[in-house]
Amino acid sequence: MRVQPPLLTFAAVTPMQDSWSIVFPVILAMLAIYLLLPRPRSLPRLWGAAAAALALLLAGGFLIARQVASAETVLFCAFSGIAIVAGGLMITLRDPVRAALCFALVVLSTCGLFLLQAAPFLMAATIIIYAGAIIVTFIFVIMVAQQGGQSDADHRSREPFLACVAGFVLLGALLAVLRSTYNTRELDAVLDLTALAAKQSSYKKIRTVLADDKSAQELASREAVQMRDALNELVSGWEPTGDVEKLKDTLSKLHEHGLQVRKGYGSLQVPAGLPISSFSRPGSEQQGKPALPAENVAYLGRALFTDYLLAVELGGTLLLVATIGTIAITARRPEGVS
Amino acid sequence: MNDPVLTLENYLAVGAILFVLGTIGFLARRNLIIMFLSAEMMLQGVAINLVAFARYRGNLQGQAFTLFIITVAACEAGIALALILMLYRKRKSLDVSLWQDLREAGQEPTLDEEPLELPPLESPLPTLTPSGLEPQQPRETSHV
Amino acid sequence: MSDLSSILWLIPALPLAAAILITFLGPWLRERSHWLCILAALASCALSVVVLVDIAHDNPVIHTYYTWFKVATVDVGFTLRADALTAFMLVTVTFISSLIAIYASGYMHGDPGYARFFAEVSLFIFFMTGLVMADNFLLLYTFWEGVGLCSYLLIGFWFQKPAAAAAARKAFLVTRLGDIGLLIGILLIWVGFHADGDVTKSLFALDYQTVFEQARLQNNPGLLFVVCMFLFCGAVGKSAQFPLHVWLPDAMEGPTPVSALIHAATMVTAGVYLVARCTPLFVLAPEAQLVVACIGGFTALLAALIALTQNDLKRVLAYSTISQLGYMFLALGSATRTNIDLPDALVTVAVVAAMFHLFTHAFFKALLFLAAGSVMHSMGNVIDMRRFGGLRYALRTTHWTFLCGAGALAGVPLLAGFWSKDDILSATFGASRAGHPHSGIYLILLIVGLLTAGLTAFYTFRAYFMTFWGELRTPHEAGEHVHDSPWVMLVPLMILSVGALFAGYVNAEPLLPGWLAEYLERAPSLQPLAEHGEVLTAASRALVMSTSIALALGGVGLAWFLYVLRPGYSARIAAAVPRLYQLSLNKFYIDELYDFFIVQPLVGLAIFARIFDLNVVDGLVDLVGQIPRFLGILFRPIQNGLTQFYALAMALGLAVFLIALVWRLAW
Repeated sequence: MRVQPPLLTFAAVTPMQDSWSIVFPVILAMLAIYLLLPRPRSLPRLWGAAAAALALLLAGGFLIARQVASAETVLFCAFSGIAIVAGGLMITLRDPVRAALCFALVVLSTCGLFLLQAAPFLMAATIIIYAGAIIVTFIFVIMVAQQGGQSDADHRSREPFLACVAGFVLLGALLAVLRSTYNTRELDAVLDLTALAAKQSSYKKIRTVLADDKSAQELASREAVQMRDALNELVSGWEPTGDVEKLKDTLSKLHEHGLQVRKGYGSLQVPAGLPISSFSRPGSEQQGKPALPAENVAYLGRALFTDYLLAVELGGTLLLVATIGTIAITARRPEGVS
Repeated sequence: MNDPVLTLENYLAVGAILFVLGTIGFLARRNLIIMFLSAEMMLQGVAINLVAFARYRGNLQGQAFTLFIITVAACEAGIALALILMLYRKRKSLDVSLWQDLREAGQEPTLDEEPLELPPLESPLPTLTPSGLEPQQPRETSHV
Repeated sequence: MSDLSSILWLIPALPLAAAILITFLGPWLRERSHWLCILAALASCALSVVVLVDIAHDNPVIHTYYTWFKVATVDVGFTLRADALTAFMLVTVTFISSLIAIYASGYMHGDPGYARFFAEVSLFIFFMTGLVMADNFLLLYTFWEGVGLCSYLLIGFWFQKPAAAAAARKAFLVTRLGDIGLLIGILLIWVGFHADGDVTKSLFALDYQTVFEQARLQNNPGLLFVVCMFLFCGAVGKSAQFPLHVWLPDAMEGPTPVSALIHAATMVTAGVYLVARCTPLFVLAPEAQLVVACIGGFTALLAALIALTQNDLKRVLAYSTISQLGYMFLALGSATRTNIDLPDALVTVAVVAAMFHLFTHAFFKALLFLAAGSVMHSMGNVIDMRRFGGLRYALRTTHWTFLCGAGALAGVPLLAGFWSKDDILSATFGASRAGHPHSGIYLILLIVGLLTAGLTAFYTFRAYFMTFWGELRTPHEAGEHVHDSPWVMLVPLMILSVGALFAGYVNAEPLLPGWLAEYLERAPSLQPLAEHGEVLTAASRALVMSTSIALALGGVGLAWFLYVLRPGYSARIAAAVPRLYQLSLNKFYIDELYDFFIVQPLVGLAIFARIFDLNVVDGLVDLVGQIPRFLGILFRPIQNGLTQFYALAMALGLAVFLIALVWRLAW
């Protein structure tokens, strides 16, 4: 996860008097630490924790207000941070009950990420099913099976080194591939540059726009590099006395091409055969880039019962069969333990 | 959505991390419950991936897929827990390494070698100071 | 003639058919198996007589029945030949074989291996007749090996007895050594002879006619000497001459009919036949002939000296066989020529003398063996002469037939052996006066031959007197009442004794025409070289004859003196020269020398080879066989039953795969 640190650039620009609202989070944080420090007779720790939470919230709000980072970024960082930390805790805690509760935390964070991705229905569904039903059932089973809390098995790991090696090699490979393949940021930057260049009125202005662009160095994404090279070639190879309109036309076409590339990003082949019906494809576009609607539930419902009807019915059948199966497996047979 | 900071890559990276953490938990932990919770965490990572792609592509394919994943996960959890209960009834423990009987003939079962840490002994009985003399005590200089 | 070739193949084929039939019908035939064998042998004998008569009038017949193999210009086939030499040998072999088969049907009565015996005897007759009828060296070698095989089977007939099995093995291995020499000789003929004197082209032919014709054209006396030496090597092995004579006395472990058939009359004469057949080769290498004569003479003397002290009747007869075979080779070695380009009467006389002695020896030696078998049969399988005596009234027929044979062997005048031995001594005397460089040695050999004749008479009649004269003594194995053998055993003895008495008259030169000599002269091997004539003057001949008569009668008389008149003297003489006596009794320790120098090192080598094979070679193979097991042990711990381990293996595999993939993508 690569986080650009925009704080430094903005800190140099923003004047001091606009930052007086940072005081509140700082004071609250101080209060929180003061309350939490060990003393012979201290207040219940809840007060300190609440103060700390409030401080973090206000800090986040400050960041958003100052436009240092957008709300989405802050929320994303918060949710993903909590998810990852809770995931790590879940696999490393010895007490299974605590591990289950950490899993609940993971699920909640993931739901927050769903919400950020314009999937409110999924968020609700996940919380209800996962956190509400599955985790509860797990805790029930722990209650039945392991009343003593921690067992000997919980204090041991099977092949910790090899498991970590396997997992982190996998992670490294995934991240490397993501880095090289899904880096839409650079492509988006080049596309924006192209769009901006297409809007200019004269050749000189186009060249100025290109020259001003500071992200010309260090492009990791292959498509972005190709796009950039194509742009440079087009503009620098154009005769300065030629038709500007034609150049702008060509730039628009380049932009279109770039959007096509972005659409097929990461796929081996751009799907051409199977069109998605209008039921599940809302069709709203912003600057050519696709967007999801706000009426998520309606559209999702429509999509499920038209495009994915068979899958829904099968899912229902699967649930029925699973229920029957579960009851059949755990039924105690008269002869004794089965 | 057009924030230059966050892109598809970030969400996919989070999904990957959750997936990998789930893998490690499944491979390393010996409690059956924790193993299945890790498996569920892997599914969560996949769900994040799918939803991110749905947003990126601008259609609801990914979300529908995720819904079905949740459905199947629920079924799976139910049956898995039923099986775990059956296994518990057999051996009265949730340790997965008790179930090693499908190994190669003539192979020794893998047993635990390292001894666990013993719980700390109870503190010894308090001893009384010898009577008569007041012991040297550091004097508190402040009561702050 | 064409009809002769149509019956020629029957002579070996009938005994072969009998052998096969007895093999397969043996369990059913059991005590009737001898009929097939005897009928086949008699039929072959009749056909051989037909051939003999036919050849007397006509030319020899050579007929190829089947092509064995044909490669480029080389054509080797199953070619049978009928000429004078062949016909003569055939009649001898088949006649003696039939009589012995009849005898054996009585001797082997009650033996559990009855059918096997007759099957093997029939097989032997097949091989022997094939041997004398073969027209090329390869076929000869095949049948040579065949008779060796039958000898092994028959010596080891009672194979459960360790001594018999060991004797069979010894016979086979010792004759093997000779056979290797024979094979090398044949191969040398194959490769070394050049066609038509052209040094660049090899002859690549093995049939007698071509080889003998081309032999004269070779300009390489050294090669001829070597070839003759190697061929003689085979003869030394098969005919039990020094140094390969050690197997024949041990071969007496076999049944007595076997000893009579194979080791007296037929198989051991194969070597004599071979050298006689190859006379055209031998006459071109006088040094080889000298070697043949020397070995023959030396063996004769050596065997006679050993036979002086033996106490086992069959052993005495075995050594006497070796000695008489030595005589035959002495004769063959005397067939020299003074002038290499002219035919010589000496060649004819010498070869005829050898074949004549072969003929008479077959009769009286077979007779002696069968009579000894009859004695054994009556004495309850005891053959040690010290344990019985004075049997001449108890076993009348056996006694008289034995006496005829002993007289013939000793060379008593007018009996068969006298004429043939005399011919040999004349030939040797002739060679010593022929005037070529080695004549002096032949004179020494003549003296050796005369001395051996005397010794022969002595030990033969020693055996006779020890067995049949003196007080009647029987061993306890003989039972209460000792009686003679049944008729089926006595009739062949009587027929053979007639032969022993009168067989010599086919070539009794001064008294009767030499019919045998005339007949054999027409053999193609001899014809170009032969010249009918006399080699000795009448006076020389009379000298030789009288000397041999004197020696024979002297030997008989000495035996009479030592074993009938004064029975104790022989023991005192033996005590007076203990070391000589021991030397003779222990066969001059030749067996022990061989054992020490040859057998024990080979045994050591065999043990080493066995250890090497078991431990190193087998060890390597086992090691290779253990490799999958080791691999299995290496990989088996992967399957330890832990689910998480399996999942880990999958994850690690996936990780490796991904690394490879990303690596390739990145670079």
